Amino acid sequence: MLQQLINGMMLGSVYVLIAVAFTLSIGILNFLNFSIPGLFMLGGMISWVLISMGVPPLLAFGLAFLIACACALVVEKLTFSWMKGSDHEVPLVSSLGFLILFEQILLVFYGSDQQAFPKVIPNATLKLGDLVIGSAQLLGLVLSIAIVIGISRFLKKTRVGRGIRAIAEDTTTAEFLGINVNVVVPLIFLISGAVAAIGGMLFAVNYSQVSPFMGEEVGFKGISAMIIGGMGSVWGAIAGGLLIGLAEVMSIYFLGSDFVDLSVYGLLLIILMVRPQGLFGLAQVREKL
Amino acid sequence: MFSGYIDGLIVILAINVIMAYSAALPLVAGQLNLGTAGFMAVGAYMAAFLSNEYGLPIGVAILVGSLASGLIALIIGIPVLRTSGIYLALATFALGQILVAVFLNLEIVGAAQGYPVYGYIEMPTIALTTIGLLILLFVLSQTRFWLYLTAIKNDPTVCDLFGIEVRNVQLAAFVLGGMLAAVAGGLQAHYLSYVEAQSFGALISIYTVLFVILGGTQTVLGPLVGAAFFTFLPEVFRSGEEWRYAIFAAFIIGFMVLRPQGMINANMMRRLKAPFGGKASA
Amino acid sequence: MTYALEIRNLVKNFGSLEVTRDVSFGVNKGERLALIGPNGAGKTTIFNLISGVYPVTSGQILIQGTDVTDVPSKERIAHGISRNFQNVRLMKHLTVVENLILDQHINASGVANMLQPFGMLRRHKWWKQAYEALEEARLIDYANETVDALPYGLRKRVDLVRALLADPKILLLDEPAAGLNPTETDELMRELKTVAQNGVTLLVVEHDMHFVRNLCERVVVLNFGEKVSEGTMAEVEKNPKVQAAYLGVEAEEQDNAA
Ligand SMILES: Nc1ncnc2c1ncn2[C@@H]1O[C@H](COP(=O)(O)OP(=O)(O)OP(=O)(O)O)[C@@H](O)[C@H]1O
Ligand SMILES: [Mg+2]
Repeated sequence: MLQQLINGMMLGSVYVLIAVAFTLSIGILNFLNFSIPGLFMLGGMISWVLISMGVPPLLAFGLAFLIACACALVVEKLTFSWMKGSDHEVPLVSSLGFLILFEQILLVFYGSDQQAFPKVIPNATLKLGDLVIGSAQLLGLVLSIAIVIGISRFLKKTRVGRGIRAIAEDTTTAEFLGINVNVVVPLIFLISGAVAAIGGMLFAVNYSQVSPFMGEEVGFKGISAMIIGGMGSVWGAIAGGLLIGLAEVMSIYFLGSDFVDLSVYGLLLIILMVRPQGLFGLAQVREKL
Repeated sequence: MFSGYIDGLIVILAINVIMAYSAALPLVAGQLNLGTAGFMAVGAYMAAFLSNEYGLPIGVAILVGSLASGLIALIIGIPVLRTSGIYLALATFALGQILVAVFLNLEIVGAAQGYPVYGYIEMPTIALTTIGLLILLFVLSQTRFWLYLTAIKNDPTVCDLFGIEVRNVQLAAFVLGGMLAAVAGGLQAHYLSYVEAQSFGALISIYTVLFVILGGTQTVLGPLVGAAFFTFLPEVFRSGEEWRYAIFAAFIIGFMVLRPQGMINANMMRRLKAPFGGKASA
Repeated sequence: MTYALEIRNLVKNFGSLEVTRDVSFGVNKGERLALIGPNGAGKTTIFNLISGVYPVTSGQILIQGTDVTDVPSKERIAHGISRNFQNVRLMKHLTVVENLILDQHINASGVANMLQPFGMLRRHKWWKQAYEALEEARLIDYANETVDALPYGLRKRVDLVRALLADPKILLLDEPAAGLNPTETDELMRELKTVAQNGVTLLVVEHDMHFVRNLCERVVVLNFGEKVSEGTMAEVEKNPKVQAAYLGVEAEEQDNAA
């Protein structure tokens, strides 16, 4: 039981990263960036490709990270910066286009099968009585919490970070305050893409498998985690991610794997109906006439 | 009538078109329904179950399935439609996932093994049903109801001030959409002779919304054009078999950059029909 | 005699911000009353309260003596209230004539009306009514233009036609002359006088004092959410509180300088 709790937290840490990636994009730009699961997948898949080509793991992760970041910037150009003032579904659709594009390109080259990700971290396990904690899992959890705290500090303490938060309030005001929107907006895409890619690598290391479609399900759960925690709230993303991870592991444990969707999305739907702003979000304000 | 390939393609087209309208109805009012596949599943299973177990004529079974789906949309829609924007999109998404997950665990319809369907309908029946639905939808597009949908997307607050029952209109669009998706599901189940919960995944809902947005929601023709275009586009690229969905995706991205209002927009249509003495000035 | 429209002790707070404080006044039937005051005085807020955009914090709104404080917008329209919007709120993606048809809703509600496929019936009374109104306003040339293709001045005129289409008994106009040139302003003034002569009660918010002086019989002055004066333009102008409200800091500075 306690073991399940730990497994749930580990799984949750991946959702935390995806949720943070989404929450940055939504909270600041009000944009549900569907390419994030694609960038998550790129992080995992490209690392795998490079490692199987014989590139040393650390270098492979570094390169995959850079490629994913570059892709995030391309996404920004083609979904967001050229589409200002369009209907709000439009960037959503193009970012979905990118998700499909990334998946399909990798599918063409590597097929749709699950690929085994090599063990890159020594197989040490931490044993506390009956509990077993893999070193990779522990690293994952620590890393994702550290990243999230880092981002949260960055937004609060640095000049650029405060600029980003000003954009979340109101673009015109931000411009007025001397914030260069043309730099800060791509930066947000970059950060959220980078976080997603790291998530993909962690997933690959922890669960030892990758595929072109690995982003979809994790992505949907990450979005759910973000909503449950409260859109735009970084701490909400942590709470939501861990909660979804726990809900998933617990329902597999008690009810069976066919019940995962029922409990995870049931939780999401209930939250949306009872408290749409999520656990940590602020209530929506009514528009001004 | 035609070769199996053409037959199959026409059926896919018909299903895609019906699904496109099921997503379009709420979308015209600015509400993204990312759960249409769930309603499709309800229609498919319900119709299959009724024609299998109770020997209902297929048409009646599909109709009942559609009503059941509408009822679910109504019950769930009342709380869910209180939210808007991204919240609504995700609530409908969750709903779609839940509906499918329910069937995945429902033993009387085979759970994860899938459910064979004994009744069969041919392509022409499906095509004719779709044409019938299209005519109904066209008539609906000529009503105040449809006008209100567009207006609500533009400015719900002002609609409310005009006395339009915004919530009820939205709910009606959502329910009608749920009913249409169920018809698509029922037709498909009886054509494929098999229902499988896994085939109603989230991507079906998402693709459906893509068709609609790419076709454009400003006119009643948009979803039809979008669905037709994207049913045939991958076929055109058949020669480049494995690249076709990648090309499709690149096309979507490029298209949204060049023409974000969709293929068919309102001004285009207005040039064609200016009712009663109206002069469209240059 | 009961007022056509009356507000009593109206209070509206947005959180801790008191936007209107205990405002009371009445408009007689067929009267042309102006509601004036500096920016942010709470004029638009009062319109929003009257038309039911948001609920009042406290106080009462009465139409022809009937309390409508807590009834939905729909019923207020049924009582004959109609309004325009300070920042024109037409449906941008609809055509001019479709915008007018929207506003007929109050006389065309109910499921049967909603489902009539009038769009293709070119001689349907809804089309006729809308086209006639445009004809009268000399806007027929723009009937089938989408609103976002129109310049601001035209939108403003369409918005007014729209507000009049519902045959209102009480018309609320929020800065109808803003952005119009002098000729257009005069034209608007004449039009509104005719409207009032037909028995429509007018409540107008306007910054153009020339316009107010010529159109309105009586004026209510608002400052920081409070009514500071009420009377004819001549009476109100003499009121030192009004002068202070309008000249604000400037006046004090001048006093100091003198
Ligand atoms: N929905 C709202 N939420 C919070 N504050 C509001 C809201 N609407 C108005 N206010 C505030 O209430 C005050 C009065 O606003 P209002 O729009 O009524 O002024 P006004 O008299 O119409 O001004 P103007 O002449 O500039 O149109 C302003 O300080 C405004 O910022
Ligand atoms: Mg105002």
